[in-house]
Amino acid sequence: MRSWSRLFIKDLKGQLFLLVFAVLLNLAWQFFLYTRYGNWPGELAAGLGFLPFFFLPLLMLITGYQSFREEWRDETIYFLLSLPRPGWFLALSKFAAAITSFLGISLLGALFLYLFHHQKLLALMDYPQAPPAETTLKIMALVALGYLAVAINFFILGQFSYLVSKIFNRGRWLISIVVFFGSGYILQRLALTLAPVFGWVPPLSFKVEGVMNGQPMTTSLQVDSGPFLAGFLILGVFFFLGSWILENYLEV
Amino acid sequence: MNENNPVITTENLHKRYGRTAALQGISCQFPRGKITGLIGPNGSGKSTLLKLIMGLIKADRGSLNIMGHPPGRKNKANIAFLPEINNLYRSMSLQELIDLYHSQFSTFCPETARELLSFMNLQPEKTVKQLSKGMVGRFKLILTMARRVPLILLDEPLTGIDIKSRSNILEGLISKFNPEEQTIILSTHEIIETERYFDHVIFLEDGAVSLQGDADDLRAEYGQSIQELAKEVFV
Repeated sequence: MRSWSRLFIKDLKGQLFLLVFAVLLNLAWQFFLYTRYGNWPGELAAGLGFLPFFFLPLLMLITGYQSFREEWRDETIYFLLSLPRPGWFLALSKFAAAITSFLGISLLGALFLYLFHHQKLLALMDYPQAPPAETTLKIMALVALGYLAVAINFFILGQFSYLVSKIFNRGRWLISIVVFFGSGYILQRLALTLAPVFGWVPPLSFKVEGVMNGQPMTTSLQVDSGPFLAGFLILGVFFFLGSWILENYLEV
Repeated sequence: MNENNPVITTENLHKRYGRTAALQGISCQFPRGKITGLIGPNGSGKSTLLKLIMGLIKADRGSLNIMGHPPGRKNKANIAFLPEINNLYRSMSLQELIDLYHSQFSTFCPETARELLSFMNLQPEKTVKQLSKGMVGRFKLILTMARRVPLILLDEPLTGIDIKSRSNILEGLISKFNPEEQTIILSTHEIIETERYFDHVIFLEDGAVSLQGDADDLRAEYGQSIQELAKEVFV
């Protein structure tokens, strides 16, 4: 455990610059938008506040792709592959570090949104009363879960496509792109095919209470667990396949 | 006894990089408990052979037996490898790297590392990117020699280290070598400083073994030093 945590800390420190940069950029963006209230339509300023969140999954894709590419570029792969550790052990520390950074950036991003736009948004919506905090939190949790799933997906497929491309001596960019989209397609198809296997798992149910046009409102959401579980299972297969390639196939 | 129980045996080992043949059928044995000099000019296949032993690359053909096992994860805990290139994380301090190695290798002895750090006049708080090439070379040697493992692979360990300090550094490092439990394979093309430490020598040229044997036997047989012999072999 100690050996894994040291690798994790090393990988997390390696992402520190990116983390600080992304947070500061987001902060500057939100502050800029805050100063635009009154000059721009309020909906535009508030809506653009969500823009950084669309880039974060892309950032995870790049982080996944770069996670081992940097080790090869800096020749520190000599150290990593000299360790008496399985491939998944090395890949997992990079994955955990990336997810930690992602959560850090996302949570701080959500905090900035709240601080800079919350009151303005409420004023724009012209609610007779604010939606209960519990409702807001439920919706945010639901969105965050879906968002995290997308980020995990992008990271693992990004990492996998790099490791596969590394097997070849030429055309690595093209191979990476093909593998990324190809594995994404396989993931989607297999997840739908395998979903019935998980039919016995109860669906995810969410009840969201709020206020619409001054009237109390209750919305029930029900999401089948099968495709999600099957998707994560196949994603796990891609993760371990990439790790196996790293340990048994790739050279320094 | 040592020759009957070699630490590494290779048979007809082949390795290609694209169209370039790096190893062309290497068959040799590395005696246990000795310092073997792997000698050859640049591009002779020395680094390739060491990387194969460490399991960092895969052979195209042939067999490789290291302490009874093929190259792989099981062996990695028992081999300390010093590559020719700088494989250290540039932004980490020397102390952080010592801690990292200590956490990854149960065979790593931080006390020995600290002792060698002081012997080599290196400051633990400095980061790798603050070090000169020679200092990086010294620190890589420290990280390798601080491991208590049966097999130590040194690939051009004197690269970047100034000529004046080489003898002193080698002396200090060899003092940590325990022939009862350890074997060293030292790849080099700088034989002047290292010759006196060799018990066994393997000459590589164009990816093939051109001469091998006990260092003293070779000196006696050819009537010249290993360095003079190398000049003849590689002409």
